[in-house]
Amino acid sequence: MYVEGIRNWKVTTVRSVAVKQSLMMFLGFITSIAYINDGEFTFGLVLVVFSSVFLLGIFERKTMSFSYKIAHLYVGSILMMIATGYLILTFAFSHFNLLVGEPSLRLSIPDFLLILTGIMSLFNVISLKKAVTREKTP
Amino acid sequence: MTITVGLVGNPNVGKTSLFNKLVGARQYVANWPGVTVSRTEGATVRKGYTLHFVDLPGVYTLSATSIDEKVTRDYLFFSPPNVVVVVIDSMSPEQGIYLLLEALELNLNVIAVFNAVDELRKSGTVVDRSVLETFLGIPVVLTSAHTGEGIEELMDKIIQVFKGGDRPKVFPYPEHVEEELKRIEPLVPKELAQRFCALKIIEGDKFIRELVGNVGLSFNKEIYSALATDIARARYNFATDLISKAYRSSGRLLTLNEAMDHVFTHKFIGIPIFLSVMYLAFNFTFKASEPLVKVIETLFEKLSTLIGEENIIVSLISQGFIGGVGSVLAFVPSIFALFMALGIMEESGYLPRIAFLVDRLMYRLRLTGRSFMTLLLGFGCNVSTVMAARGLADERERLTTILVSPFISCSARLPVYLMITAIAFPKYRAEAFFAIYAMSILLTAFSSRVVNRVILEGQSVPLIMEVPRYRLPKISNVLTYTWNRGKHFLEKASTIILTASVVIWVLSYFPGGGDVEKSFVAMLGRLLEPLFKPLGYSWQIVTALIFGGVAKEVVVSTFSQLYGTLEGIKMDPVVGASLMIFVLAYVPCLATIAAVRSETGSWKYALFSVFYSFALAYILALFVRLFGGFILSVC
Repeated sequence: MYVEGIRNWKVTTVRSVAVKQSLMMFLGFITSIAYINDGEFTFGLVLVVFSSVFLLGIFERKTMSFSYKIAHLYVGSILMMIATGYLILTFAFSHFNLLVGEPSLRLSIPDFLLILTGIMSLFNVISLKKAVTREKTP
Repeated sequence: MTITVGLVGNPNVGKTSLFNKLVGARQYVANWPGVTVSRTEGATVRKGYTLHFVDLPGVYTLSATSIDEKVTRDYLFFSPPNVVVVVIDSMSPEQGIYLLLEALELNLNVIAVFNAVDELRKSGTVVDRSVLETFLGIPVVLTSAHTGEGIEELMDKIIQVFKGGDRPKVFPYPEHVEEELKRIEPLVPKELAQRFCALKIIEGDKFIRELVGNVGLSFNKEIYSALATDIARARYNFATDLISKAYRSSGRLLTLNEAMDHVFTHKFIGIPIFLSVMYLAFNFTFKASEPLVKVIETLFEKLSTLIGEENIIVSLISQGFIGGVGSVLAFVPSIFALFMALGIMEESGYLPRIAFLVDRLMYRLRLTGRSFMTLLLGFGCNVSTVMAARGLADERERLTTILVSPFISCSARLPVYLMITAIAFPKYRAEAFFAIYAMSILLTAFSSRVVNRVILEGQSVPLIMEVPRYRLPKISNVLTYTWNRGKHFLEKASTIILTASVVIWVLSYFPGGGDVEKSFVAMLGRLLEPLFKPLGYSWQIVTALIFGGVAKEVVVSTFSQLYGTLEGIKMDPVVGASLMIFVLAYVPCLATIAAVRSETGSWKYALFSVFYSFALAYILALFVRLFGGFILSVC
């Protein structure tokens, strides 16, 4: 009964990690495309790199692959948070423009997409911090 | 009553943080080995005793070779404290236990502190203190300099040990080593720690051998070398055994660091992540600081207009002082923003990983990741790299690092890039910045290959380096890092740049009485203009480059004085790109040339540095001009 419970837990967690990974990857790539489409080619490319961290996690097949998959999800989420943090800080600092009579930054649709990705990443980082190093054993 | 306490430990184990907690000080700490290079002292009162703490530079062994290691060794040996506290990183305790075993031989009161136990617990591992105490035979305290856990217990333990602690047990070495120790010990003067000295004599410590003097010992190199290996092996075996007995893991297979390293140093994605993070850092530099730069520029312009240019004195103040220095100072927010971004990367523990990422590439260039770390210092100031190269053990690697260091884009070039990008390609500033920094690394790599082929021969030794743990950057540490790097720029603005600005003003004011076109600088610029004609540079640019030889920021100052204001300048993007590359590569500043001369002890290398960099800069700038022009004509 106990062993069965553990097995179910592990299957659920593996599934949930895979789902999260796919979702983050999807969101990351969509945001990158949106930025590239908006003319911000380099920043879009940066997000492609960050999104590919999730992608590579899916292909982890070696020993302890579960832990490594979580590691990819965790680090990928941190990187997405860095990108979002950069956007938020830039937006905040742009308000100094008002001092010299220039407009502050306006958030675009890709920006909102990135913020959404950042929020999801924040949840991932909080929830995964313990799991990233844990390979539950009965 | 005063108790002196020496804090000893490996680099980056949190000695300074512990010291700060114990005495309530604010010493600078960083996520980087080798921050403490001299001893720091502080005191606190506990239970009627004055505890006088001495924070010593981090060492791996008491066989000292570098200056900071000697500070620690000499203090313990010649002015031993009442109590020695050996701080060990509980996350990776092997090296710390090795040092502890050495310290035990000094026959002093020793306490072992296993620091960062909070992080250990977070990683799912518990440490059994009683096991440690039983096997080490000395008091053990588990602390966290971060949370303050165990600090009071440590102070109580220090008093307890001082009042009547037993001296540590003797650590037993293999029988044949013990026999040799017994033979040497009586020959060592009694006022010295005999067993410690005997061990160091076997290990080949030159200092101890000289200190002990000629006591009739015959050193058989081969035998002693084998014995030294056995001593080291015995210590490491003990450490490994102790850890396996005292540490218990709760079923976790990866530590947080291992998990993060798996991705950050990934063979496919590691370098793209690094490049992307760097791009974000540069973009942050511009976008976050741009509004502040505008505010400062506006302030200086208004001040300059307010003063006017009615007579020679007013013109000197307005154009020379305010225009010249102000144009450079306007970029201070950008410089601080970049250092803040780099500070966050360093403080988080990410930057040292780059050394490992690039080690394979560096090895092909006959350098190592260690040189890369030294070269990274050059992003602040090239002189720092030249001086820090002293830490490289291999002479060929040291010389190579010194000779290629001027190609690392230092902070002095930042205002010049900021100015050129603002003038020539305002929409693609971050991309241009990223490209110039990438070019800087490529040029360094290329030059390293050239230097190794033409001047120096040999192979590098593989990189062995302890990387710090990842951690959330502390705001106070990041701010200290930013200030320490950025203040150098402010100091230069008030000295070299100010002086250069006045000289340039004088040369641009006379003999035309304020007409720049008829001034000395115009004559000088026009004289050399034909040499730079293929690159498309005007006489103003040529003049700015000449003065930039003193310090690169002076290029901006010269531009400002020759054009009146930076805003009105127009520059072709191709010329802009070519000029950026030229500024990156052309002659090192005077301070760097002097440092190269003094560190290599030869004018030959200093002159090589000047001529090689100028030739390379010219060829590259010409290539960009021709190739860029061709691309534009096709598009």
